[in-house]
Amino acid sequence: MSALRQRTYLPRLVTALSIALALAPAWAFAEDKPVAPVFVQPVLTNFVEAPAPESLPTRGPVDVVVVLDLDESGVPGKVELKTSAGGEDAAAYDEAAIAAVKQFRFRPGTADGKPVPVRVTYRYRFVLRPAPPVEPVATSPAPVSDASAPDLAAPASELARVPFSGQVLRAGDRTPLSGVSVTADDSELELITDANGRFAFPSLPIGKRIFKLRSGEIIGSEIKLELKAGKRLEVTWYPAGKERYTSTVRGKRVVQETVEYVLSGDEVRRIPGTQGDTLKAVQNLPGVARSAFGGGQIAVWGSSPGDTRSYVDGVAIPLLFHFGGLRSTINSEIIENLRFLPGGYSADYGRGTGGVILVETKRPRADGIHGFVQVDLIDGSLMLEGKLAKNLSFSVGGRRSWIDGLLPLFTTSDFQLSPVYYDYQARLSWRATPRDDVDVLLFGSDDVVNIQLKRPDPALSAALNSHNYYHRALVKWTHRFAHGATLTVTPSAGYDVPFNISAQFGNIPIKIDARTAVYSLRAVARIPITRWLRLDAGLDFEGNRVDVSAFAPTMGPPREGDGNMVGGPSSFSKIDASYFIHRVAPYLISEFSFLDGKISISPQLRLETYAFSSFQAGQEYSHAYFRPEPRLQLRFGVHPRIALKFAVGTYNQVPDAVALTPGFGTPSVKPIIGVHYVGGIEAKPWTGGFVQAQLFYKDISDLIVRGRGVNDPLYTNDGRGRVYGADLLVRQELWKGFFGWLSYTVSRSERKDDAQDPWRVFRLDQTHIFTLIGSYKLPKGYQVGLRFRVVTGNPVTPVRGAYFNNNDGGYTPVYGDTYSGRLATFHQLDLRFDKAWTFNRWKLSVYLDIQNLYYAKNPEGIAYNYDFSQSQPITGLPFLPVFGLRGDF
Amino acid sequence: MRRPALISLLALALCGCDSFEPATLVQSLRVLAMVAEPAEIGSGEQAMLRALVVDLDPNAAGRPVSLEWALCDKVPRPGVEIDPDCFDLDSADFITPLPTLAGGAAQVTMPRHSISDLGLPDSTGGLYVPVRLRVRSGGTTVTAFHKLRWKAGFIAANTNPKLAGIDYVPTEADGELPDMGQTVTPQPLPDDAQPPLELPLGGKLRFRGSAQAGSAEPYVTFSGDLSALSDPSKITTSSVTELIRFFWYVSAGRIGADVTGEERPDTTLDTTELTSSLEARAGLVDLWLVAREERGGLDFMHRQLRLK
Repeated sequence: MSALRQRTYLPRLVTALSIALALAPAWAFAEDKPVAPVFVQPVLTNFVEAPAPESLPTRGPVDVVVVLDLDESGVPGKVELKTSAGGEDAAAYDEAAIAAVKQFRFRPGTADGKPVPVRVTYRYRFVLRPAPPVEPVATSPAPVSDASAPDLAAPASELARVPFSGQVLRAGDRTPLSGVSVTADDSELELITDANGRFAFPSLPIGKRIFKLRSGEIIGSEIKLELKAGKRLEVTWYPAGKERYTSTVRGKRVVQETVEYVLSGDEVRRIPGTQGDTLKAVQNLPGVARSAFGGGQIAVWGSSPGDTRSYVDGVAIPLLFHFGGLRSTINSEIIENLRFLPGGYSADYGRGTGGVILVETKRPRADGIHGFVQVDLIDGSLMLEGKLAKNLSFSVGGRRSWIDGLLPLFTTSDFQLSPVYYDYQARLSWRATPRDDVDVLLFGSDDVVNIQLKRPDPALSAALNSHNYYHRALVKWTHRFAHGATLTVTPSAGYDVPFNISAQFGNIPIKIDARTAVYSLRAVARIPITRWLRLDAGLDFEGNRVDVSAFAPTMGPPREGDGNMVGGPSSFSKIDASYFIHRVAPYLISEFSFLDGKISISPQLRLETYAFSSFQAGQEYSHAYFRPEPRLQLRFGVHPRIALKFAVGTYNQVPDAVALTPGFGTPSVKPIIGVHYVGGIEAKPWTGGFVQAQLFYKDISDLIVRGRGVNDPLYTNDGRGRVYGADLLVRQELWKGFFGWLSYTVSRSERKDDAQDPWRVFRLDQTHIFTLIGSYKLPKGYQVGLRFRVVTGNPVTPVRGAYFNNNDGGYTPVYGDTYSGRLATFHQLDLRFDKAWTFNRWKLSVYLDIQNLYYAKNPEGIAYNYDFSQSQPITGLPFLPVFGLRGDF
Repeated sequence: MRRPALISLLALALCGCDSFEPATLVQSLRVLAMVAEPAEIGSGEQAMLRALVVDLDPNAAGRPVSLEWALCDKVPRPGVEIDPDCFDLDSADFITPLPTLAGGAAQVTMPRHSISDLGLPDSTGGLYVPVRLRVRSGGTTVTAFHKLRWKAGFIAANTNPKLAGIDYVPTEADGELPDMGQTVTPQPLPDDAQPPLELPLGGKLRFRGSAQAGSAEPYVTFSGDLSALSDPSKITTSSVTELIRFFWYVSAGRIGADVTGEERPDTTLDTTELTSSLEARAGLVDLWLVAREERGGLDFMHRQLRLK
């Protein structure tokens, strides 16, 4: 339905919609926050006309101002009178306006793409309706969103007029554009497109006309048309949209996290070096250690990569990246936004002493069939989405690598590498009722790597076959109660094979086959109690059944703290075992807002219970731990643009799979405990600018380390850790074609493997991490961006000597203090070019992503000669241009 | 967890680490092999130790070479093969010097141990006590360790492999190096009692080492809860045959494959690139072959070539 109005006096019979946005109670504070989320206003989609009281002809235009609370589905809840019509019959006007407004429907307002309750101030204007014009030709239902129809009286004869209607879609992706002004011949007639981008003039004079399209979302355009007598015309226009995408923003949920980065939109997909991968963009945020090429790990605030958990729509996933970190296992196209919480986060998540990565998938589009196809040197992907039925939409996509097709160019008969990965995502979204959404999401990832290494030395000839995958199915039901309360329930099930390796190294066969059945339930009720108090009450349950069959080195893979331990005794263990891990955590989050939201205090409590039981060859073992985890977050708005923030919280982490597995580990090891302390400031000192800085300290106890003595358990909880540092983000949102950010982290992460040991640095301790990202949009669809990084080199354990090892014929190094050396500083410049051609119904884009533009020879390790008397750095990525091609429709 | 291993394997395979001198080229003070006879002994039993030590440092011709043997009876922590103290310390309670006998040999007596105090067994089920050899020549010291295999008593003891000899085929007239045994019958390389084989400067040879029959022994491996090897209910066994690996060393020229095995037994010597040490040795090229198997058994032999 479109809004039809005239610019002259009464002609404008509509109620003027002046939406003064003020967020609902819990969100009201956000207005005063120095940094607001990216907010999209609600749009009126269903106007209901109020019956005019009898006195209207004598009083003239009468205004009634009301305040209405919209819930997340755009349905008005409470409606309060703000300014009465006044006069003797004020009650008649007031009541009529309130009754009409209660029947309005809005497209919900969103914060960071997520529907949110919104408080709207609405001015309802009663005006005298003129006599309706004579309609010579039947038309499609005329849009009426004003209190009366326009004055369409015209000098032309009725036969010289025809109806004219159409739809305005954004060029390239055919997104319906609402709120676009459509005018004809600079006349006073103006139409506003409805939520579906449609407009309809009941009748227009025939002849050559010039139509103008105007909106904040499009580049204004003019279209010349000739309207002919007796011919009804239906058009579709494709104006070019203005790119107003956003990326790193400060979001705000019910409880505002003390440190949170939100990635969304096209911008982050154009960061050089990420090949359009939203999850890889996380590696450019403050507090994230640089990952070596081929690493693909996310180490946050001095924690191990495994300490940071990743979730998709609230469901934990075991693997964020395909092998080598080339690509994330979740296609960026289904990501609505990605929230990265480096530490001190709320009680709705836990079980990791590092950070949290929360991926929220987007609802499929319901305005026709859309999709994309993308290919580059690494892989190809495609996706389709659209409407299946009323209130039911779908999306389905997949990706497959073709590195295996390219590698034969670089391998030899003595060295063959055949890696293949794929991932898939499928989603159904059903708006069951205006208050209920049901989403079904299926997704998964699969990595196969086969390596054949043939050497004359039989001990070095190796065949390695690895096949790892995970699959997840989840159902998410969201119910929106009146007054803004919501209930979300997400059960899920999955099946993982995190380790499936068979290998033969000379005379030594290795086989690891670990299979995990995963089941979880996450439920949360978000309840606004008063204007100054909100509660989140939830339950977080995860269950795992793990079956392990293995014949492998007892020592397991290298661990943090091993230094560069090589040549250790290769004892082997063989097991067939099963174990169960069940974790359940009810939690309660409260948020008190005072002084009109200037002060926010959020005490939280999570009650974590962890139960473990294992079965192997007739032996059973079980234990359980219960741990209350109090957390507290504080925020003080000291200035409309400046806020101070603090957080403290305790966290626990289940021991890693190797440490728990009977035969290879010590099932009795306890969970790791972490305490986070965060204090900082955030400010929005200029338009589009955002500055955030914080100090952090993490205390880690009960770290799992290897047993030291001959008769010690393989693993103990004797380790300790501490991390302290500061990080800074300075960001410029899109401004005159430019966006970018600067992030800097200075920190020190230390460990000790026994209480008596001195502190040593952590394996991925990087004292300085500096990242500069900038991108500039040029005319005609061009864009150029750069990323420059300077990062302290990773710690290494120096070699202080070597001895001839007679049993294996080589030399064995003797190491110095663990991680007491460092690689040279890393620095690298990446560059990216984008070019897009936008057609009416589709868009073609190409990009060239060049990593390590000036060929910096960054060391990623150290190579030694045969007796370790000479060394040279192993350099990382030399120079990698990746060319990509993409079509959207 | 597997990714670092995969990446390491890739790095090894793709690393451009060719700028170092190869381990096969001997041009300094080196220990190339240590042999215990018998290869595996029980507590209180004795074995004779001998070493293949070479000093080809061009600046140290004729200087004396001293050998110091010692037993280091200290069990390292899990994940470490030799306790660093065994490397660092010349003397300690757990270090027992072994008198050097004629020809640089030594005799060792296995300390009395039980199965539970020697740490975790390796993939062959072996438990070891390290024997250290320090070799000094001028100001240079080289340290070597041989892990002397401890005989548990309930399985057959390991024995050393025995090398049979080295065969060769020379470069053909057209410069091609034929495959051994296909177009050209391999010839035995003359032993040290005979005049050395003459090879034209810049010529190439293809070598193949061979061990006497029975050198590759079958043995039983253990897996399961290896910390309780004495409890048969907690372990499983499987039978494998030793892999004999042939390690090649030369004093000049370039060796193709530094280690060969039964499946791909051939390596090459290319004398195109020679070093100054060759001139000092009047055209004589030393060739050493060491046979090793994974349980610590060894044998070695020496041959010479003359380049003309």
